[in-house]
Amino acid sequence: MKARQIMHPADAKALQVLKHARGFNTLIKYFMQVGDERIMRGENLGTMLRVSPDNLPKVYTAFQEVVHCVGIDEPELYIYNDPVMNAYTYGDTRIFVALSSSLVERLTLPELKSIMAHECGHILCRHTLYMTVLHIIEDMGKAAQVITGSLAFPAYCALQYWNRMSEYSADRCAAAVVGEQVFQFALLKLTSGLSDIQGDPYQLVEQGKRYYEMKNASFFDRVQQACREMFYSHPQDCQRAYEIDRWKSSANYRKLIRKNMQKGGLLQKNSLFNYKI
Amino acid sequence: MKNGVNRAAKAKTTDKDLRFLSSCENEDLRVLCDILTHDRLGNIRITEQLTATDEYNRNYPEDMLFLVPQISNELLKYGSNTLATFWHNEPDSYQTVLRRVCKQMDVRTMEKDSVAKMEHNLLTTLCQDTLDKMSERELRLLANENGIPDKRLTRQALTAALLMAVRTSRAVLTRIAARVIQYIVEIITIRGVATAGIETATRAVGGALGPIGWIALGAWTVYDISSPAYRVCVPAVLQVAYMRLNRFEQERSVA
Repeated sequence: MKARQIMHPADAKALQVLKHARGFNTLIKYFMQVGDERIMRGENLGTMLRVSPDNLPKVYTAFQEVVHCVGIDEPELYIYNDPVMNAYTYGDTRIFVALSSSLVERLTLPELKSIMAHECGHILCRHTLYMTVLHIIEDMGKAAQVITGSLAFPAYCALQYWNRMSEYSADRCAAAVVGEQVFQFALLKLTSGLSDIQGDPYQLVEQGKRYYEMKNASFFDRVQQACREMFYSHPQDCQRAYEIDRWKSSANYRKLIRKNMQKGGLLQKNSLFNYKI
Repeated sequence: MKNGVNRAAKAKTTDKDLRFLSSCENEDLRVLCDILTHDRLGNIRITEQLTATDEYNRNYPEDMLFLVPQISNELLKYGSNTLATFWHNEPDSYQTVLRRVCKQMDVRTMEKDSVAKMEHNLLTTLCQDTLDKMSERELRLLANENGIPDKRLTRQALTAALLMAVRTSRAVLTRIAARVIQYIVEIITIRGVATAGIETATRAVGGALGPIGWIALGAWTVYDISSPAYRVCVPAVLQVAYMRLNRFEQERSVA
């Protein structure tokens, strides 16, 4: 899989702008290598469970399959104790993926693979570097409110916008690896926090359509909703579902799915997406 | 409101001079679409609005014919002033954009010239420019491809023979235009860089003129940002011109 096959246009555009700040990027990369990456590795080893073929063989095998399908070097996989379903990835040279325990408990294996593929999508598109910039600005804001409130605010908003767009690219990666239906089911569970959802997998897509109808009803609605969304780090779930539903008709999605099926990969196994870990 | 809806609907219809695109080949349309959406290095253009549409998602790159209205509209938007497009709720016509491109590329046009005539002049002039820049080996190759005996001809004589062929034969122009389009894009890039350098220097002077200079500078920058994007619309118009010429040739050969 290639990054340009899954990259959302808005993400690609924003990344291009960010890439122009070369000196800044090199500096951040250096700080990541000597600072954050080592600190976080220490934290991971210290407070999380590293997944191995011995402790969670199914999860580990699933992760290997996803990594192989996406075509990246295998990152370290950790599980941390959290009732909130969440996952994240970090690193530029020494990359890891962390999953919350509730994800492993509540999702079926194919759905869990979609979350893993989402994180691998971030790695493939090299989003982590710019996410670091965003976190630094956030941390600066926490340390001294005046910076976030004035000088860094436009940069913060721009990076937050890019962060939301980058999620669409990662979602595309997930859909391409496990199939869009599985991804829609996983998203339903993430939204509701429940471990079992019945009915149509496209419930959130329909909600997304209603949301956009409401948002585009008037100029005032557009501004009001945009102001609400501008501080979010992720797009709203209905927007994510809607975007993937749009993308599923694209040539890139069809090509990736075809390739995946020819390989005899995850899609065929995922047709039985009712088995638990 | 009703008027607004009509104007919006009008903006989506294909310009009369670009309707022929609906009968062009998928590959040619894909190239045109790529010119509008990506730069020469394959990076997505930051100002493009095509790739986010449902039509692009559904039809690129296999069914480009369904994308013709969107491609036409994008090309016209690139060739028009953004503020004027926003104000009128529709971009300028293809004829206006073409005239602008001809002016930018120093190609003479008359008020009464048709779109086909202007495009022919544009391609001929640019082919002439490009032939001058080609190496002897490339010129001999081109001459061979077009049935011009090259053995005893010097570089100057070869160029003259090819120029004559370009001026007199539409078929030769079509063939040569296809070969030289990459050289043309190169010329555009060099010109673009030179212009940007001059503007930057002039703006630095504006910045030193105090508050009035800053206001003027701001207005100038807004105007400049919203003015036609020649780096995109020039190669796109050239591609359209080539596609029209190619189509004429195909129709003629069938007849």
